[in-house]
Amino acid sequence: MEAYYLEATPKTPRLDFNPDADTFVISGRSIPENSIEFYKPLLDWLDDYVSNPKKSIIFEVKLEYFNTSSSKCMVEIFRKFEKIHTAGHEPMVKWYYDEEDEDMQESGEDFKDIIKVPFKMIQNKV
Amino acid sequence: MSKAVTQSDVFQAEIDFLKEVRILAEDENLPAVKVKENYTALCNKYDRLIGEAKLLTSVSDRLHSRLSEANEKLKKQSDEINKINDDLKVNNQLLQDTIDQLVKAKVGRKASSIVLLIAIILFIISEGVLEPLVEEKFGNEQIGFLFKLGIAILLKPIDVLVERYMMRKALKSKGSITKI
Repeated sequence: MEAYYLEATPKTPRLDFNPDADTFVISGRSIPENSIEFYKPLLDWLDDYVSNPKKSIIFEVKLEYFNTSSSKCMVEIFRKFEKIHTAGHEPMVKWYYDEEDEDMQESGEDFKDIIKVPFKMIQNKV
Repeated sequence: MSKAVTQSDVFQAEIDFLKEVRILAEDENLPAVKVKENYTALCNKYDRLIGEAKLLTSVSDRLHSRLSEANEKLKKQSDEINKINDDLKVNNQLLQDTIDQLVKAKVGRKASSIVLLIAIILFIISEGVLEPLVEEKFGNEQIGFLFKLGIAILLKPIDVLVERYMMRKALKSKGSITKI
């Protein structure tokens, strides 16, 4: 299975999903013109990954800002990790946020409430 | 139109599930076990959807408040810029007035010097040429005095005329500098 990697742009995040690595990363800003179009290939890639995941995988979310439709796509990504979790593996979500960014902290907590995957909130040290 | 398609795409999985369940709901021969199974699945999906709706609402509210704050900040900055602009205009006008007064004073001094020069020349002409001529022709000193008085009275209007002329010239040259 090939890695899925996308470089960040001012409107889209960096996506680093390497099946051989222990950590998947999404970082930057997520305000694409069409979130569904942007995240569809990643969701398809995750569908493949879910069928043969690693025993333990960490998903690091280091977003600075995202729009509403991106948050729905994030839910869909987390649902894939729920499937991995339900299948008996050990995925973990690490949600990074800046100390002064209350919005990102609250968003992380909102995701944590609805996603049934171990979810860790991590404050970035300034 | 494309926007509407995009919005529905966000919930495509939910729309597909709803269609599926609706088809099953219309099937009157569906066994009770299957009905219960689908009903449970529908409840679970509905539960999830409520969670997602809550999340989307709170994300959207936060974005809105962030935009609103940014807007407020921009408005404040715009007001400050306008105030600075107004102050600059007032200061500019004060500066312009001061420059005009300086130009006027400079022109006034120059005009006075020219008028003084004219007065000296007229005095010399009157003393050296006109007075001997008048005395010789009329034999009366008072006419010579009247002549000098006339010259003295004319000095102020000459000063005003010279000053006006020089002021016009100075304003013209200032105008051409501004155009440049």
